[in-house]
Amino acid sequence: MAGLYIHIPFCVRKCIYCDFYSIPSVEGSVAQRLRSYVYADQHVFLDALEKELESLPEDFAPETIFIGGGTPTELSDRDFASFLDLLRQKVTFDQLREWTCESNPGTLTEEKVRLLREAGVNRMSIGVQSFDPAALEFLGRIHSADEARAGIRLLKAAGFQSMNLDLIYGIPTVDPDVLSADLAAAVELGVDHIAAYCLIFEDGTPLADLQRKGYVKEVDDDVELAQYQLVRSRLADAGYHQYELSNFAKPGHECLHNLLYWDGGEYFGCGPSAHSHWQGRRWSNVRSLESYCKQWLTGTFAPAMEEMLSPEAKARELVIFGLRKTRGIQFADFTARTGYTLDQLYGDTLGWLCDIGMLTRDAGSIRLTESGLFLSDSVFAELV
Amino acid sequence: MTDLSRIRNFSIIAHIDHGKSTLADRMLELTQTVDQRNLKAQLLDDMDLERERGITIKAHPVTMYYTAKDGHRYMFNLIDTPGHVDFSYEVTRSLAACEGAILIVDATQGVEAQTVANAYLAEGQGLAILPVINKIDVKTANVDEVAHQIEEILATPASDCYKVSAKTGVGVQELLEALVHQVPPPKVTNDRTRALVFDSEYDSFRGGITYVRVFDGKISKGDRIRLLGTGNDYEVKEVGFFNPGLVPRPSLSAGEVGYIISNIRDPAEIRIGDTVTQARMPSDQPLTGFKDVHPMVFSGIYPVDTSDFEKLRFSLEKYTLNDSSFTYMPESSVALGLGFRCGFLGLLHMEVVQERLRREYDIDLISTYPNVVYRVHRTNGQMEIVENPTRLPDWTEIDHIEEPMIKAFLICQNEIIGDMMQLLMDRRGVIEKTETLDSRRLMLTCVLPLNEILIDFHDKLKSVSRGYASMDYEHFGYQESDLVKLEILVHGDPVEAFSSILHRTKAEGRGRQLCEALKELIPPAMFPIAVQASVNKKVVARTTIRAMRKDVTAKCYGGDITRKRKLLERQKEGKKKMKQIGRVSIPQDAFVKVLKTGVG
Repeated sequence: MAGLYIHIPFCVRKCIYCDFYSIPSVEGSVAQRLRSYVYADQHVFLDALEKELESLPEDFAPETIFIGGGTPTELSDRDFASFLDLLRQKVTFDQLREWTCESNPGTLTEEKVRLLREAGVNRMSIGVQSFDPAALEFLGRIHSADEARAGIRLLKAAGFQSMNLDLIYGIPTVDPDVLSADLAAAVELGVDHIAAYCLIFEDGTPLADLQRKGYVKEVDDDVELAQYQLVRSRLADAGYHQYELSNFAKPGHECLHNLLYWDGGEYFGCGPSAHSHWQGRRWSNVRSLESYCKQWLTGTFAPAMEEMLSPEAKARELVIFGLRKTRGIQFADFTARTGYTLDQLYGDTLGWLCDIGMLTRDAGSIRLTESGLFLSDSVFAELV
Repeated sequence: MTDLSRIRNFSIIAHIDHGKSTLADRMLELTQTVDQRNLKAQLLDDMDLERERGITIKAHPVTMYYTAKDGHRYMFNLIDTPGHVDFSYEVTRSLAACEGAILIVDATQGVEAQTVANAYLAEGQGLAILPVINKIDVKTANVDEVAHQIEEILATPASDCYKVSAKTGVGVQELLEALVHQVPPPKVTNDRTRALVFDSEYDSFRGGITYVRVFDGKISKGDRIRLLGTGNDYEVKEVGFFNPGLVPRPSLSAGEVGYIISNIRDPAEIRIGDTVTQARMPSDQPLTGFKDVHPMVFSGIYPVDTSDFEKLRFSLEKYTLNDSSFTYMPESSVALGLGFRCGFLGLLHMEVVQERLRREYDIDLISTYPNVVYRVHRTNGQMEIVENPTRLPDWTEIDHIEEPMIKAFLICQNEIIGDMMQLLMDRRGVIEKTETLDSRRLMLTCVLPLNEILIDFHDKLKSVSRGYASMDYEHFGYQESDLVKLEILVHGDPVEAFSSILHRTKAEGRGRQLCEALKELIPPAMFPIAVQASVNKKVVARTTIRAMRKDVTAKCYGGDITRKRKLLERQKEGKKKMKQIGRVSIPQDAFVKVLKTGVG
């Protein structure tokens, strides 16, 4: 199984917590932004992307496509149409099972929804984050709760069956009880997939800056833990099965593309800052729209980062990402893929992690316990 | 050879800042030993060092010539003392080289604890004491009251005090004249050569330089001399006076003070208090009072940067050349790496050595919580000296333990006597007597364990008295005490580096203090960590570091697996840098904080 990720490096404005690569529209329309960055016409990004897609192996036929960003739906209706046309021309679709596109509720238009349906996109991911005005304001979101609901109605009306909704909790300054209402609202919208993230203070973001200057403080760990437990219990009650640390789905509606990442699967990532994993090699594209376009348009592509892992490092990586999934790691499958047994790699560390209640193992598999979920980085640091 | 009746040997003893250096300088000036310009530069240097380190730096002895009113020319030998009882043995040796002592008291400050301690030492040596009230030119001087204090404490009539301003020179001439009449001349008591070693210095070109006071006979260049304590013989290459630099002479005679340079390469061979005699006609009667001094306080010294270990070793080697009372031995600590277990005469000695290593050799040091030297008596009857709490035998093998005691003199304001007694009692002190100094101050004499003043006692004293109290002490032997070894267990595993020896009544409090401190210093883990303090396997205090609540990266950077893996690798590296006690990671910082300050 293989996947394709496309990174659209534009957004209306940067949310304070976001550390993905994107250029906000405060710097002008997409066309202007492109011009200021690469002194070329508005199709330059799509031209470069076309070159990159053409460089993919002939026989590459992804089973999943994920369009992320930035905000893909920030492209103008016309650019968006060209972009989807480009994908249809350049990508082999005969193996495709899941095609997801991220969207921001504030940028969804009837036209874009129609284009997405026509192109064959069968899953939408909507960055709602919260239904609380204060929370949306704090995070720097451009949309209201009503716009989020309207966007989802629009997608449903257009026939989208499969939808993910992103929620964020652990937001400073926001009443922790807001989460309860957010969960209820998300469940009520009847989506088949919910990703609920605890807010991360990433270095280099305005949020981390505010924290460093002492204007905001991370929500207390106890509160965050209680919120996490609330997310898990509410969503379980509503029929969502937790299949990863932060991901919940109605049975059979797990996100195949994300599973690919956690299962050590292969994928190509196209667009600035995108990452790829192919035939044992991991690399990333340059984190600059200008350099990205120059490289692809002049035939001088060079990965910003590149690595080949040793078989053992590869096996360890598979463990730490595999354990993000609630079903954990199947011993037989692991050994078949890596040639190692877990005991070979970790000796008595696994037993100890089980003893202190972080992991639980049965005859065929090992996985995080409930208490292990929210301490998983500590567990992984023992195993990496 | 100087006529014995024309020699006066004396010391000046004083509390810090009471004007010892200034008075000495004025004497040098009046006797024309040093010209005025050189004097100023020297004075300033000494004062800076004194102020900054809060101690009196020992100066060279100096020989002066004074022509008295009787028309005769007298040789005055001024022998300085280190001025602090950490060096009390050396003080007594310096005093033993004298027949008299000038005791300075600042007219604006009055008698201080150090004045008392030093005066008692001088009295004990049978010296003629000349009490001097200094700084009489200052507006706030209270000469009568200070004279009264001197009478109370030293039983010297107030009218016998010399009133001086070392700064302006008022009264100094009279004092010089008084030295002639009040200080007795040296007496010869033996027919064979004997000289007292009261100090030494090491010169990298000339080797060990021995400072002596000749009591009997004569030492000349070319003589073969013997040090009675070690039995080693040496050839005398040079002898001379301090006038004020090293001035060679053909010989040193009875009553005189000077230096001997012989072929001594190892400074440890020169022992303070030893007796020099002629190898061909040796005296079989050493001058009294020689003692092998042993360190009283031990502390670990470690380089902050482990790669500085060799540099530290080199610095210690160099340092001991001029301070043979300081000892060191390599030691390795699970927490701090390679370093040295160092022995000091006392608390102040420790501070001075550490500070000098830092400054003069430019090394960042971690010094661990100091401890005293215990005498551990085993059940099998053997006695063992324990310099490091981690070396204490198992408690089942211990019959009893003795700890070093001190006799302390404390001077404080009347109104804080209650707080002061409380402080002393908290430190297991037994108050021997309370004396009124004047209308505002009194003096407490108290016996307490040395261990109890090692940490923060001076700070407490200053805070209780708002900075007015002063304290000094002398060593007061060993005493059996109900001492126990306090162990700290982290998640069931003992951490040797945190062990300490202390009085049973203090174990619980200190144990709780350590547990609470470690609770803040040890990062939470995936499981609750019990931190326990135990005495003889019995837990006396405990606390629990609750398990961490959250350590999760909820969102996983899309396809950027590498970044996440690297973050986890860094987390793992960070943990590796910590010391693993069982499955608990203790940061270096925690050891440093606990070992350094003792916490609390």
